[in-house]
Amino acid sequence: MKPDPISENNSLLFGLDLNDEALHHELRQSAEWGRKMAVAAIVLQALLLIGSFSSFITYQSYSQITGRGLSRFLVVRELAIGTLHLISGIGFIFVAVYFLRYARMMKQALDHGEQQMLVESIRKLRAAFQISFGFSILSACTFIASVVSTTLYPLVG
Amino acid sequence: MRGEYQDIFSFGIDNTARRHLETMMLWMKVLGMVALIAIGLTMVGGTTIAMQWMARVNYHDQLTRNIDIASVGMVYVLFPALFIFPAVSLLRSARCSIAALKTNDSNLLGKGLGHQKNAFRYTGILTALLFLPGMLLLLVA
Repeated sequence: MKPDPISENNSLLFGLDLNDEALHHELRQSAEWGRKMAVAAIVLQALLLIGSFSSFITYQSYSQITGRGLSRFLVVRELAIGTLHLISGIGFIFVAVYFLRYARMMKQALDHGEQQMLVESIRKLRAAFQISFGFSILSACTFIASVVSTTLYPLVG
Repeated sequence: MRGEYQDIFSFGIDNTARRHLETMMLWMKVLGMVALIAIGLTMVGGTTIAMQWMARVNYHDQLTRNIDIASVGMVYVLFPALFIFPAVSLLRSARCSIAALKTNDSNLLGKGLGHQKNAFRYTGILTALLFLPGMLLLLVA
């Protein structure tokens, strides 16, 4: 008897294993902590973004009052690095949103035993890792740029 | 009866989920490695920059200098070091889960998920704890 290609293709790798109590528990816990981590990350990123804006505004007022400002090199440097930080910050909020979606879908999949939702939640988590990789590279580049510009400052500043 | 049996037991890692899981684990591994490299770079590069800046400052008293050294140590050495554990957990999770997918070992998959949970839990708690210095920085700014 020839195997049915459709059922072969959709066969479960671990058979019934996601109904196993221990795995079920780990998946639920992982999703729950993923959600908490995402909420904490969104709040912290928002705080950092507000902090960056307020320090920029404070500096502007200070420069206007005292008439003292940074050199042209430092102004360009601060603007460029600040913009990159801003993009990374917004990007990581985006990543956190993917984590929230993963957690919500995984919880729904486990509660109702929805296979499609399980696949979708894994897809969201995969996307979250892929996007965070991209923004991690951007953050690393920003950091390297600040190291290089600080080293160059005595020469060109 | 057969339909009921299938409905109950069709919940698990099918081929589509497996494909996504395999890709996810690879990205998780890459992210763990990138995180470890970034931690190393931050420790070395950050400390170097801070020391360069501090060398240009004329300190009038030893206390201010010590406060600056402590701040540098906290920002560029202590904070990055705190993130070593979640990065290693991500790597462990990826390693266990990739092996589980290769050998169809559900126990190993459970272990991998446990490491993933640890990484999320630790990062979540650490991020929440960072609110305090974050708020302090905001106030100072």
